[in-house]
Amino acid sequence: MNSEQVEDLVRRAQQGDVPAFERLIAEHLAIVRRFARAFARGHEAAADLAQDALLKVYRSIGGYRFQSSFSTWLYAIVRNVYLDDARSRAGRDRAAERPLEPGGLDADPTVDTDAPRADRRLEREELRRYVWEALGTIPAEFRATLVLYDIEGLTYEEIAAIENAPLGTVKSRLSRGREHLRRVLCGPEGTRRLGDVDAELEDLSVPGNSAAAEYVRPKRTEPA
Amino acid sequence: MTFDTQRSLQLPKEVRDALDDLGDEAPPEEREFSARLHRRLAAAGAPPTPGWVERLQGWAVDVWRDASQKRTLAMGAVLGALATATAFLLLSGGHPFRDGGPAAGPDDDTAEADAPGANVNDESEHKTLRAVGDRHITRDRLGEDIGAERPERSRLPAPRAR
Repeated sequence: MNSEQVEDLVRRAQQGDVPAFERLIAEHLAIVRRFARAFARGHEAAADLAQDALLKVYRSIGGYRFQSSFSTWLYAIVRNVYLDDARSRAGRDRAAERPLEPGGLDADPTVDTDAPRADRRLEREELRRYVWEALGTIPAEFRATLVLYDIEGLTYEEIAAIENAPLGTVKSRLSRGREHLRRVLCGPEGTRRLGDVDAELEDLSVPGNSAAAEYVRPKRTEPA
Repeated sequence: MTFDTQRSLQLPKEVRDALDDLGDEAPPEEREFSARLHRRLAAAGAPPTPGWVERLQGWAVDVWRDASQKRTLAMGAVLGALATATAFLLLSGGHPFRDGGPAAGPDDDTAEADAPGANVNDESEHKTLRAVGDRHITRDRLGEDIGAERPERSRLPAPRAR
């Protein structure tokens, strides 16, 4: 979508054109929802939080004055909603900011556990939930930076614009968030759970994961 | 959005892989989510247009942002001027007013003589003072005291005897 199209959609959305707004945010939906997952316990709570954030974006779009890119403005509002939610009492109840207990994660009862393939899927889901829970123990500001950089693949400059903070602050937040995450995930319990992550990731390539393929980002190339 | 291939290098491989995996995760129930969002957006009505307070606020933010850029430029200019002045001061050997300035340097003889509390008993000072001629002479050339009360010789030339 080029800048003229974005500008046209923004102007229409500012007039109350809901389909135009939906087209505008369509390509950012996955990031907004994954970002919400870091601030909520479970997918349902994350969906609620993402909906609240997008509704806030819609109500605020009249104030968008094309000073920054639309995605930067959108993520800035979404981030603020998530941080406000994490700071509020309701957010504290909803978010996963609690000590990570070894073995405290049970299997998702909605997943079919009969087939061996379903077992692998279950393990994978459990591992993901474990990592999301670990992310939930990081202080909210560091967590937001870490999710945007290490999970969503944004650059330092983009995050600095979203957080309205200097580059040094972004790097500092990222470093502290990583340190916190490393402490949690590289403990005895984390090492045990992450030990088979490579084998789990190989299962990603099995057919039937077309829904996931829509959201797959460009793969990182490891340095030599 | 661009993609940085050097990210996550400080994290252990297992953690990096786990975060990558989260990034590839598809949020569930996409259709339900979109349908519910559509309903809520439609119920919300048209977004409010910013009133004069919001516009004024936006204008103030813009002005503040522009001013901060100008402040940066002005600060750079001031720092540059200070650096240049310091460099000139160092190159001139610490005597910025040597050539005819109002302040006196340490090797200025007249300045010492003019200074209050100058040591008049010192021989060299004595000569200097005599050369300057602004103080009463109390000793003769051999160093004998000639008295401070000695009336000063008239500066007018004596009338010639015819």
